[in-house]
Amino acid sequence: MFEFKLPDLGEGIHEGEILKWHALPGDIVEEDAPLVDVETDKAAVTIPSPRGGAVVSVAGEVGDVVETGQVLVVIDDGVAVEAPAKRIETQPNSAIIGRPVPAAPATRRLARELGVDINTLSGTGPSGRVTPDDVRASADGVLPAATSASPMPARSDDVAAVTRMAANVSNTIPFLDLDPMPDFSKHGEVEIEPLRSIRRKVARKMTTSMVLVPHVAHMDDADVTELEEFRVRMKERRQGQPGGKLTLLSFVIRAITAGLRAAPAFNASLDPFKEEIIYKKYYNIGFAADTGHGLVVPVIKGTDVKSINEISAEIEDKAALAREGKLPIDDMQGGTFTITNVGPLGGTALIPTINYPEVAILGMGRVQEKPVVRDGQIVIRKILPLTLAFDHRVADGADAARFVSELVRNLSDPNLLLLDT
Amino acid sequence: MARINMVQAINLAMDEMMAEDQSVVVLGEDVGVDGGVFRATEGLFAKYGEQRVIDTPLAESAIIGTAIGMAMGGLKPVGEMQFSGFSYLMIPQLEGHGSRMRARTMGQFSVPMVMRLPYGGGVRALEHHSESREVFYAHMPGVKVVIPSGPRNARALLRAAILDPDPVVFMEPKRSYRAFKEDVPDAPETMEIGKCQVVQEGTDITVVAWGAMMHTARKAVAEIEKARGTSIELIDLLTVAPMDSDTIAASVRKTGRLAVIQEAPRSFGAASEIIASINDKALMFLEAPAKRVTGYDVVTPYFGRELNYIPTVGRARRGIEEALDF
Amino acid sequence: MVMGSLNQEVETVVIGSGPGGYVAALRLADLGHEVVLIEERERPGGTCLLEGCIPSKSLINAVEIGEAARHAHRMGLSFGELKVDHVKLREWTEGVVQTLSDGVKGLLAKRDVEVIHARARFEDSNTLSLDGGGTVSFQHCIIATGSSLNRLPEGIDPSVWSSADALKLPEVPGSLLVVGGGYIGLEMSLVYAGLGTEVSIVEFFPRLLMGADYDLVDVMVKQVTSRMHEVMTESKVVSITPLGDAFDVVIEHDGKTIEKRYDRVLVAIGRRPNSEDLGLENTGVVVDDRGVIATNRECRTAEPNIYAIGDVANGPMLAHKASREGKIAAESIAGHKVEFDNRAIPAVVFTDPEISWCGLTERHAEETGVAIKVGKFPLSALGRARAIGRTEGFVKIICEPETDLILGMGIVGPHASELISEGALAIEMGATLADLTDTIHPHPTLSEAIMEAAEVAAGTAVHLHAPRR
Repeated sequence: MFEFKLPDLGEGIHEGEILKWHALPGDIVEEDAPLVDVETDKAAVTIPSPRGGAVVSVAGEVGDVVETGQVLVVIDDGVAVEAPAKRIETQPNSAIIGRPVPAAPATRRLARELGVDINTLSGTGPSGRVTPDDVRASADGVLPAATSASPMPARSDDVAAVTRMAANVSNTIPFLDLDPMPDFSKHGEVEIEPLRSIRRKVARKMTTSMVLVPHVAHMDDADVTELEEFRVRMKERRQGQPGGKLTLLSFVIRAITAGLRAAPAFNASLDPFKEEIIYKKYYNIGFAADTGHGLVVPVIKGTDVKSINEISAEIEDKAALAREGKLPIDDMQGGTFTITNVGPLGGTALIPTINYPEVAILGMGRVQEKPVVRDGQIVIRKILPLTLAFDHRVADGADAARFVSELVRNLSDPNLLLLDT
Repeated sequence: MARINMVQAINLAMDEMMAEDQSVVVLGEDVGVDGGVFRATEGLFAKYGEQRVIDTPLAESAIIGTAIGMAMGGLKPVGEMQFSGFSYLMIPQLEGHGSRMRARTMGQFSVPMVMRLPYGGGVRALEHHSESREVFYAHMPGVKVVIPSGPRNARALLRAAILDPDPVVFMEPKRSYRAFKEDVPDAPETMEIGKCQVVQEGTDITVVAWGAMMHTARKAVAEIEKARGTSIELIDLLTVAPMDSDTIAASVRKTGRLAVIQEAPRSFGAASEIIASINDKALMFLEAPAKRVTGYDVVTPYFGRELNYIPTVGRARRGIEEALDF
Repeated sequence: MVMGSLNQEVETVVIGSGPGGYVAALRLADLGHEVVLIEERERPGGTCLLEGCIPSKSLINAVEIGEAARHAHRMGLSFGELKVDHVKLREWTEGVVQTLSDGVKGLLAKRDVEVIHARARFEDSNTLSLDGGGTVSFQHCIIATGSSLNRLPEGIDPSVWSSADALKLPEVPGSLLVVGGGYIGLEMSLVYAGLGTEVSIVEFFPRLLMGADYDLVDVMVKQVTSRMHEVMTESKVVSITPLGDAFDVVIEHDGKTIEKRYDRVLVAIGRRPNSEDLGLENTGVVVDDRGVIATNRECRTAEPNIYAIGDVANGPMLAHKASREGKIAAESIAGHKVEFDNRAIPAVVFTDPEISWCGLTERHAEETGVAIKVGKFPLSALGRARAIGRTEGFVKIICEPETDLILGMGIVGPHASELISEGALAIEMGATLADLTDTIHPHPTLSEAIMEAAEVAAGTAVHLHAPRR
């Protein structure tokens, strides 16, 4: 009998949502035949069967979330069952003699219900007796701030658990008033959609980033008239050649990479546990892509050694894969800096959220023709609004100003990109 | 409410009717002093006496003949054929007289009798004790064939059968006799003969079953719902003849797909009739060929092979999925 | 069978209606589960109710009344010679047993637990077949089949009494030899001695009641021996020859081989779990070579949907342990997070005086090298004991030296069986000596001795000559 556990599907992926079963209890599967489709917040994968045999049981229904390491399927592959004695550990059921951690039966029961191992506690009662409060305090400490285990109770209709969690959080942050959701349907019709997959992961990432990282936004305008003229000209010339579209983004990536080499603080990460800043000597720039079913950030690796053409080609390929939901997990990891470009969709400026655990993100607004003053004259120029949001623990306003000014300078003349970058 | 099994429910229905109506009598082999080999008539002899609970000789032709006569004479006999495998001996008199007495006498006489038959396999019994031959009786015009699937509908339908003015063959799936319990209301209730029951509503496929196969169908449906999120409409046929094809057709018009789970041999079975009626009433709504999951056209095997013959949950599921995935 | 084999599908089936089985069934029914109970005897209650705890306590009570009457002349009450109508006593006992068994039957019926009277065997881990026909398919099963008396060794005549035979009071023999000085042998000896029989005891080990602390046993032995004709320890029965109206017994005692004649012989040599002939080999359940079913702390066997409780499972063969396990197995089936985490299972011997103990014994502490502090209080210093003329015995409390955490308790004396529960509670609650000394125990009662023993351990006792330090 083989228990197939949900394998590690990639760094940072702890769970998956069951999309479709290809085999059900009673069916015979061959080794490597498709077993189940699982969607993670990165992509949907088809997991092949690791063994041939009869499916004995499956972990859940379509829509259920399974965690990495959790048993997904049990297959009877004809391999003899382990000696039953190993399956359940048996031991004499006599009373525990000697010195177990003192705790009243009701307290022990409470510990079991809250999932606390009473033998790990030292109690505050006489002779180290564990009190119900000791148990509860320990249980609350088990609620994690981040990482894979969800801090919310598994069932949202578990009102007591929700209230308890809300109370805990409200206790730690002054003025934070976290009440359970009111009943919105009282006021009118509502439609409920469970928070799943990519949306859920984004919710967690954004909350983490906003809570942990002190965001500062530095805004500036870049005059990209010359650059745009160059780009459009080159684009027409290169019609039909690979790397086709030659977007503004590829030039910005190049310019940013140059800027990061000069200002390594923005290409780093801060480890709050060890209290260290990790400066990365490699340059992997991610760009936010709207795929149609959620936000995905494909990463272009080694932008310091790639040409603008190569970068442009990669942007197009990766964006396409992301839209199809086929972007490999490897291409979504390892980023050092992120750019988010909403320009094509419209908007004057934005203050983006840093892609934790990076320390800075560049937001690009819409290139617009605007009147500006040059040498005392009003002229019409193409202006690209830029916003750098950065982590103030790692860099200061002056660093940011210098970084962005340098970027603006590089974007104002394509020749500078040629020389400096 | 009381929580009882099917045998107890059948006993309850007879007890209630015998208390209400003095003309209700019970007859059959071992039904009196012994209370029936399955205990279906337990307690009735002590309560109602030897005039109304009659131990017959070992002669099925006598049981049917007497029952027809009693019914024409004004009584409401509830006869028992100890096993459906012995019941074929009643065909000459049921077909020849019981079924047609009303027509022959233009309504002057009717035959308000019930003949109870334990039927069906899955109980590791010997030869002749596992057949499912409901169509033998369904093909007789003038005879009704009713097949309950659980305690509650067994009690309600047997009561209705006893009250029915025409002959009813009441076939009890013995595999389900003690298998499970249901809540049954204290006050007597009836269900209409000739109507099937939509046990659960759905939109993706209609599944029809009866007798012991209802239990099997329920499990198969639950498995499919869990694995695929399918919405399945499950119908309990309850009356084989006259068949409520309208309800089934209405369902197929809604779902577009049909699967029928039948214990009896494949050819010339009730499933064929159901599908033929869909041909008449809902053909243009079908998105897939209607699927029959049935027993095989062989003599019912001995119990070592029994479960290879009777549709299992797995076989039912695969049949339903075939219709779903067409 | 011609008819075939009808199957019944149930959620949970319990095999056995003893203190483990029927408690589990009732608890499961209260938790909303559909339960079927299979019992092979005609009436429910198991060994405890039908041929163990209950009838023996009924007889012991009668005998104790007789004993009290014999000593009442000290207080100015005199009775004529005690006449024993053992038939009436048997009927009284049977009445008690029947009432209680009917009580269990009623409890089960009221909760709609179906009771099937049959013997069950496992066909696989989800199916039981019943003798007499039929099968039961289940999701969960609790095996509570209990234990049976060990079979008499080869060659011993069936006319030799087992404890079950003796409890039926077939007669009051002139002389009785009891083979086995454990708690069953001792209780039976006291019963028959109290009815007028000349009782002799043969025990293989150097002491009677080997399982308990020596100081507790010694007090009891002194009393018991005075009522016995003879007590032979470190002795062995070589042969028992039935003579029709008596038995010739050859005993190795004190290095010599002696032959004696007794009207009746009772062999009380222990019990074995009822795990044979259950078809367990068709499941994943693991049984050791003593016949004990291996279980984990949730009372689950190696087959996850099958539980085992009571005498057939691990642990001491005690009815109250079975009942506790019954509740745990039931709650586990209902999805609660439970486990057998009791720290004190009381043991009681219904001799006269009674002995009871729970938690850590002094002997076990010595054997395992655990440091302890002991406080002992003699009943002779207790007002109530004096007032009822029963001053033999004492209460001792065993605790942890630095923290005063109570680890064990032992009691010998009248009503020791009733008093020990306070000790069990103290240990489960993680109580310290202060919790006992600071709790007011009513005066004058025997329970004060518990408080006093705690005071002795704590060094604050006022009712002894000098505080122990």
